[in-house]
Amino acid sequence: MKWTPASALWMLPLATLVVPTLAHARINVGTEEAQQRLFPGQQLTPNPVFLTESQRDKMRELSSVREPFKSERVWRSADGAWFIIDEVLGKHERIKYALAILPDGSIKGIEIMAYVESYGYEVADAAWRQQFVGKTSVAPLKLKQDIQNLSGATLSCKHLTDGVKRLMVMYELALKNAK
Amino acid sequence: MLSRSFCLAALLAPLLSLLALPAYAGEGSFGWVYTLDLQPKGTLEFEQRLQANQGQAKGQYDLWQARTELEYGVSEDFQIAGYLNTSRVSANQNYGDGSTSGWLVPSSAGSSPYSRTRVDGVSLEGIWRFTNPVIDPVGVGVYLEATTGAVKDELESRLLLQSNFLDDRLVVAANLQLSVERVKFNAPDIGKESMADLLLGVSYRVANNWTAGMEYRFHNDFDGYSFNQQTQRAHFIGPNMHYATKAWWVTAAWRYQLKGQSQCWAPGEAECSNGRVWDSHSRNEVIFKFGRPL
Amino acid sequence: MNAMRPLLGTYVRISVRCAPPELCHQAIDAAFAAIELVQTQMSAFNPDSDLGHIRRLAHLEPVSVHPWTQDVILLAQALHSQSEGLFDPGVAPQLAAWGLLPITPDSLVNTGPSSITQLNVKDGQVSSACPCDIDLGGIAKGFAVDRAIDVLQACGITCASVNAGGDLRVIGPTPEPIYVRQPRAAEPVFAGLLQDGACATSAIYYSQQTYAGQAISALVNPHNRQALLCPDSFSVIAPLCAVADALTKVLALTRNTALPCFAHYGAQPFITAAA
Repeated sequence: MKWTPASALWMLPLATLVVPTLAHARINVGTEEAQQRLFPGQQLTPNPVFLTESQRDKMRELSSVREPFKSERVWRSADGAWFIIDEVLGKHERIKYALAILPDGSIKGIEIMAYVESYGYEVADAAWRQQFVGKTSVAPLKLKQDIQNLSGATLSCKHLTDGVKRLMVMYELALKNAK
Repeated sequence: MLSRSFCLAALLAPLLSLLALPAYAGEGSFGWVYTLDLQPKGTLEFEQRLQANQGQAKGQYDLWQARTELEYGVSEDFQIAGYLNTSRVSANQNYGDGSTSGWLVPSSAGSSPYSRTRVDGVSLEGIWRFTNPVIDPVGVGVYLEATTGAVKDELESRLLLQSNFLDDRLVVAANLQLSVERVKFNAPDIGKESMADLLLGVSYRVANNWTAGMEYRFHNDFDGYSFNQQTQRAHFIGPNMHYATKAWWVTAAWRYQLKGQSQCWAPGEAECSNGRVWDSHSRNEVIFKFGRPL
Repeated sequence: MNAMRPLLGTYVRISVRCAPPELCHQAIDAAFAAIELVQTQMSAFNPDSDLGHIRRLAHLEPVSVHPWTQDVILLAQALHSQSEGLFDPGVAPQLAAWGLLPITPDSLVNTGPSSITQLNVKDGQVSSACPCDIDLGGIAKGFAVDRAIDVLQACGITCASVNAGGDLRVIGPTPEPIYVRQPRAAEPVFAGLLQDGACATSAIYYSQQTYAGQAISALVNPHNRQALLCPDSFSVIAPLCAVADALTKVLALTRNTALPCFAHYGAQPFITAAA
């Protein structure tokens, strides 16, 4: 057994290289836990997608989200379900969330990930997220249309709704017919 | 002894759990421009503002104005607030004619140093939001504030406009302000004044929790309650910065009176000199705001 | 390869590296099976577990238990002796009275305070002279992690980590960064790098509540039956997770990192102050 406490690391010459990354690293429990909550007991394999410029333009046009989408955080189950991690702008920080899509193309659920206390705020409310369940890519997924707002969290609700819309557009363009 | 700590822990535990609840601020991300970011329904926020006004024609002029505020969201689109206004003025021969003058300096000060710390009065404010810039292309709102106290009685109204761009990262806001004032601090002389201002602000979210931007003020002062006779015109511009977390936020902004752009007319020629206006304005104004949802 | 399942009242995450995928799969399944076995035999919430039988019957007749249950009890008794009684799974009646554990069986009501020392363990049989109400929650989670690691190693895995809600053990050449969670803080605190060892943390922020107007928690001092209410996190690094798990209780109750029991087990305790 070898234990090197954080205090000792400061004295190592490597500390300046190693410690900054460690001190700011986030625990990855978020991804697995979110996967287990949305697809309990199921095995998901990483399936990063490559999006063409025109696909990205379409996603931006139909959802109005400008934040670039990091397409490496996509997983797939054996029966064709999808698990996607995305980030949108919150009130102060970014909101990281996971979207689960069933093989039939309808939304299974949304989980707000990692450190719910510091971002997400009211969008973590399960009843609000429940509005997305069952919607497909034909749904408007627009705040104040088919998704109701949460008082005091308009900005987060809007960005999350737009983010989910963007992912459903991506599903339609790139994931639905993927082999 | 043990039971007391139990009691204390029992008292603290629910309080601690309250602290753990997510909170949300109706934040003032600009120093002077009002936005349509209101307190959510049923929530309360404490704010403290401190403005430092420094430098007039010459000599010394320092005016500190503090406003202690409680804001409450009555509904999703309507908030009210109450303020306690206090000030400290310290001046000495700050006007071009060598007199000690300016806002909160009574004419009895002559040319001698003058300073005073006082409670100015109280204000009551209401903001109504008709459209929300987060959802609609342009947010529109109306602001009304009534102030009373030993220093002045005032009725201020503003038309608030705001548009958001780039995933709400860029905020552009404008206030059209009309006020009428009954100035009392120089009693028995009572001043009757009116004011028409245009405030513009731009701010951009540069990083998580941080926004930075610029603000501009176009100020017009008039004699009388009905904009009867213009007495002053001035332009101010400067940067602002805002930092916010879930539990609190701070804003700092500075504006500088542009030289040569300002004008004034009778009756107060000493109230301007070298292209700037004085009275309640100075070369530099800096404001700090702190907000904490309760 | 990573896998996560809800077990032992928390999420258990097993991470296996430097091995071919099919082997990882098999090893992970076997490791989870081991954890499930610990859960079945040592759960206070299951009256048919070894623990349930011990609580109801050990004072009437010897109870046959799984070899692992015997190992846990013997280890708990050794820890009790080394910590001068500060570690004692006999606090169950207090926890039951506060609603944190199922109600004590009728046969044990109105008995005096229980202690792990009252149990007699020999050749797979547990008996006691008088009714003994114990809860293995303070050590069983760590014990389960150790058994999972054993299974992984038996399958030929050399790099792995098993994490049961913060009680974890790692094997392999790469040091693992250890973070300690804090109540109400957004980011866990980086505590250090661990290689081939275990780490366990105890704190009250998940079990703290009020009962009949008094604040209580699941960390109880065996000597005076009072609940620990201090909000800091108490962590122990040790070669074995079961030992680390048990010693965190001792650390939490004494706040003394210099006790001889830590050195005896090669353990390194540390306290993370609440933010």
